[in-house]
Amino acid sequence: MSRALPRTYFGLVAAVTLALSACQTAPPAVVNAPGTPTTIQDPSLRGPVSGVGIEAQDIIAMTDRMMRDMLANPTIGAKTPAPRVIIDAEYFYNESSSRLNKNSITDRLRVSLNRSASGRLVFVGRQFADMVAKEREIKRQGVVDSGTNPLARAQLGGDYRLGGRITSLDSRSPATGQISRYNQVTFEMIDLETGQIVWSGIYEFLKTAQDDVIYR
Amino acid sequence: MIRARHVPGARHRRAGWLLLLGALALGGCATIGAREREMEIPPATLSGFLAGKPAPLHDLYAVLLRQGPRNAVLNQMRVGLAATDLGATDAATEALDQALAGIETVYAQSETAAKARQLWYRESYKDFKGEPYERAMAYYYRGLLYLREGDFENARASFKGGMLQDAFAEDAQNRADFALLAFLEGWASHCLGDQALARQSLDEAKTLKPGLSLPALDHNVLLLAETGTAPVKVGDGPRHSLLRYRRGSGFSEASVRFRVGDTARPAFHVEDIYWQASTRGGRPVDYILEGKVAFKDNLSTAGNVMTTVGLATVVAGAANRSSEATIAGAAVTMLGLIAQGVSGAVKPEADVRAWDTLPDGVHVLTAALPAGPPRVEAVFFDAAGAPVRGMTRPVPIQFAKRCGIGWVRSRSAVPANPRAPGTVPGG
Repeated sequence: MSRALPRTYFGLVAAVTLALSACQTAPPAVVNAPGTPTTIQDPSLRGPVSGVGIEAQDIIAMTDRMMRDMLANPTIGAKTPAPRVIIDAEYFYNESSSRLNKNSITDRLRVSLNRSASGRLVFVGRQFADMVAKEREIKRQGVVDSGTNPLARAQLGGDYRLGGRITSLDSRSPATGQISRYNQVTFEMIDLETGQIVWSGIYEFLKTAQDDVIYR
Repeated sequence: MIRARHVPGARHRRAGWLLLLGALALGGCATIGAREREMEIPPATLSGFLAGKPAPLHDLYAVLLRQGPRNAVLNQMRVGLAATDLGATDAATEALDQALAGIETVYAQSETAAKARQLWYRESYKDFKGEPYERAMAYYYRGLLYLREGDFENARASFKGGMLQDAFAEDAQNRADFALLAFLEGWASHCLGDQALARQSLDEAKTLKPGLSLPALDHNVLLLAETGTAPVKVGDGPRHSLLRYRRGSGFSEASVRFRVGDTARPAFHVEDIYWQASTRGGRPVDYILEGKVAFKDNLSTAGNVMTTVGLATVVAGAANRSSEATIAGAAVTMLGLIAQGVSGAVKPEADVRAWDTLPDGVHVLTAALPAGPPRVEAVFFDAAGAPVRGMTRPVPIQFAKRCGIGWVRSRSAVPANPRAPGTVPGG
């Protein structure tokens, strides 16, 4: 047998092997099959997955700004005695095209304010009124004792309550596949006796993104 | 030791064989990539995944797991709709939320999307997000779930999100013309008591569908009925590179009447899903696929010519005992085969994966009914106005806050085949 022949066979076998390996039924290559371990990320920064709607970093930025602004307002932040405020989502409307839980905005605002106000504001938990009413009732029925706090004549009434609105304006370019969403979030504190708006704040931002052409 | 005798042309022959093998490998290489195949799931993993999920949907969930992220949005859409039909609200909510998360993901600088643009990959290599009508319908179904639970604000946001998906039509007159979604956006505002916003959206719906009756101020119940089967995606044109639609078939129901107590009221045919699918116009990706077809065809033609000429040269060389002509002919033949092989590896087919459990049409009626309303039934009629035999369905009404909703389909949303069309290449 000649020496050239084995080399030829070797070449052929190698080629066939390569060809087969290129076509082989390999185990399906799943994107990131082993997954990604849990990582803790700063919610005030844009995350690895984002779109054009309202996201964590927007909620943090807007509530931080509103909190500072509200505390700097003399009507609310420097009143004596400390005014009672109700901050919840009851009168905070979502008219935007973003599906979201409004509580994530109002809860953060209330908690941030409560921690920063240092007694300058009294927060009324109107969202817990049912819970308080039930406890008051069984205390007065003698089912439970009166606790260590003195009994109050009634639950606290509010001086001011948060109102607001989330709106958005979407635009799309069929030519480029770009989508833009202008998000506007307004916050207002309403005097619960007169209806006067004693403080207003607005937070707005525009986000633009463009899908790969294959998805347009 | 016997030394090998040098054979003139042996090196050329070996090279030729290798070239031939390479061409065959390229041309005959299985066209189904690993990413497009279903994964084998260990039974323990599968049973763990299915635990707690509605039993009638186990096959769908299993396919969701096996087909992985490439078809996740599509499979979640099918699971979500089937779960909605079965009344499994939690499963439906979870599935549709995940589908919408996939739809809202912006695919920029995505490796899979980039590959789907390449010559060697089908368009269906990309992660499925659906065509605009499919995306819009995912928002529609999610919005209905919000309506059921009385979250009218997020319902409205969903319907708005659906309308946005319809904003990419190439044909301007068919852009953002989803009357169903405009109507429902108005209905959500109506349920919120925001009549100004309600009127704005309802007027838009009325402009799109002039025959549509708008809800009166005292209307508190929305009745929706879905008829027929989903539009069918077809790979048409050269090399199946053009995405076309056919109306779903195998159904005769065309209209609906809601029987409330003793009275039957006709529902308005507010949306034609086939029409929404088929009037979008061209897609930007069509130009990419067109380029793939041109490349494939040109290369194939060149390969054919080279193979023919090469073989003719080989024959002529053999007849004339000219080894040079034979070698040259063989080389040209090899190049021709390579060109044909490369051409065969180009994949210009349009992505025909489709949400096949969608209806053909959606019909709507609003009414003022007391909570705990009388029995409501939907009676389906064919195009001639005759009732379709055996097609009368009870319509349970779910009230939340100030509004109620009844939703019914003429056909089950639980598919007979757990795999959506086009999700198994070559299958």
